[in-house]
Amino acid sequence: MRKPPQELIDFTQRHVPIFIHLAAAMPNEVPFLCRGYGFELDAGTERLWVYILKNQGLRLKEYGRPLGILSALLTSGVDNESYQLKGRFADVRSLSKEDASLLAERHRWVALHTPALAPIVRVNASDCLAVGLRVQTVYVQTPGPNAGFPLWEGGDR
Amino acid sequence: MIPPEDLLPIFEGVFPSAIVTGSAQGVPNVANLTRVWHVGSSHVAVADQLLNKTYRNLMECPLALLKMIHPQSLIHWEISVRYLQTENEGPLFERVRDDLLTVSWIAGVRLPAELRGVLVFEILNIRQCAEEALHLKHNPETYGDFLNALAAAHQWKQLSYWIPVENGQHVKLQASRGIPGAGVDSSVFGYMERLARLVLKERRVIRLNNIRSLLRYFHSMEPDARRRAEENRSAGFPVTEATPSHYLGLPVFVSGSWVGILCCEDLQGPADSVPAFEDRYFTILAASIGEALLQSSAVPEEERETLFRQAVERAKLQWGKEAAPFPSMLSARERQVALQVAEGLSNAEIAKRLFISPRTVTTHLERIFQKLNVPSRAALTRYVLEKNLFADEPEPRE
Repeated sequence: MRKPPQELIDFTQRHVPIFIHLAAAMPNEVPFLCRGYGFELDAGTERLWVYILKNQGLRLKEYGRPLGILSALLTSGVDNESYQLKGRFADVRSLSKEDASLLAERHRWVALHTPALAPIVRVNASDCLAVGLRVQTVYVQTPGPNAGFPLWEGGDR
Repeated sequence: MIPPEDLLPIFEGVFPSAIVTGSAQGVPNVANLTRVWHVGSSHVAVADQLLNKTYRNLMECPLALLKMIHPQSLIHWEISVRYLQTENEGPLFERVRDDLLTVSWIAGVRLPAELRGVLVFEILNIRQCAEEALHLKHNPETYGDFLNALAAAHQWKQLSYWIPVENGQHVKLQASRGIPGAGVDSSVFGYMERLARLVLKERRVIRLNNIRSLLRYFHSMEPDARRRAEENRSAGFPVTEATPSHYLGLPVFVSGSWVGILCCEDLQGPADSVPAFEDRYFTILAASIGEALLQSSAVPEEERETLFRQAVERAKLQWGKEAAPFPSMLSARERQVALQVAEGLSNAEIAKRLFISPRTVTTHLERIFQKLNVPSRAALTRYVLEKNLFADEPEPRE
């Protein structure tokens, strides 16, 4: 099992707002997209857990039966550095205390750097659930000419 | 579909937006967008500078979703689109390139990537993403203003507003107005809470008229009812002369997602407030006030009650249009023709009576069918009779 790329790990530890989108798609249907409010990258298991609202979790569940590949786009709110992680749906769970702390921390960075957007991401942990995906590929996104370049491919193909 | 003209601010924004596409195999791809261009009432456009995977996906599956934020209300909007074409020259291409070059000039840096083309999409659907707006924090006074506006517009005296909690299994009181004993005795909300839970479960308008005596009867049928009455106790909530007799429960949705539940109770008789409106009105009202509630967190305090009053007036206006016995879209002559068809007259007879040609009668009829969405003379006759339109037609002048 290969460790996710250091660039991505460094990115997730930046003290900046990181905006998150979680997407699903089905052949010949309009795709699904919802906002993530926090995340946890578990380098050991190559899993990314994205915290979304429970009501969006219900919509996601309705949308994909069964859920296949999910995509999460993580974007810095200060300089647009962004990475897209794709992988198969792994699991869904409630938020733990640690998740709640990560959620609060994400909100703190948004409130500090982009206060106008803070109300959008101020959600309660009890209103959220964590959707896990087994990361298979990480792409560099914007900015720059390397947009869409695959940065890393995991063991689970 | 909501006309994009109402949403113009979201196309002017610096707020983050995104596009998601899917491959033929259903693998999603998300890309950030700096801007989406509004092109007429049914199309939007996106600049293709670095949209590599997005473009490849669109060649496999033309359906995409744009997610944008309204810069004032902070409400997310989802725009379902179908890719139509890429323009590499022409007025739209020039407009998009000029917009990008202007910003890059102001920034003092070169465009990070040349504009390769402008992707043009047809709008399929627009929806408010209410799910991601419900947590926008309301000022505690918001719901008070909300109930005040509703009370003033309908002469409702006793109101409460509830929101679904615990994954939609229960309800929580957010505000009340005019409930005697509120804040002192929680049991005064007993029937309203049960009503709110029922509305939550059944997702429909629930209206109960003149049920006080039935409530009392059900209580009297409870085991030990006599002993409880003697001890001045009641199973459930006590039924007294002060117990309201009419109840209205109203589910408030936006784009199919729960926003809250409005409950209204009334002591007075059927001539009063609640029974005076049709269920269709309440459905229209719920949609209108739901949208206002979502927008209210971004509205200054002094404008909030106006926002809610406007939402109520919009609902009344729409209902008035729908419920008007003779839709205002019919001209006076068309009304005359419709009534005479309902009397059973032929086109020739109508022509003779109205001093017009049979061909003109036929033309009027075609328009009437189209405007009222009725397929035949028989359906038009039913429409006139069901709505009792003869009664509304003024007597012809001498």
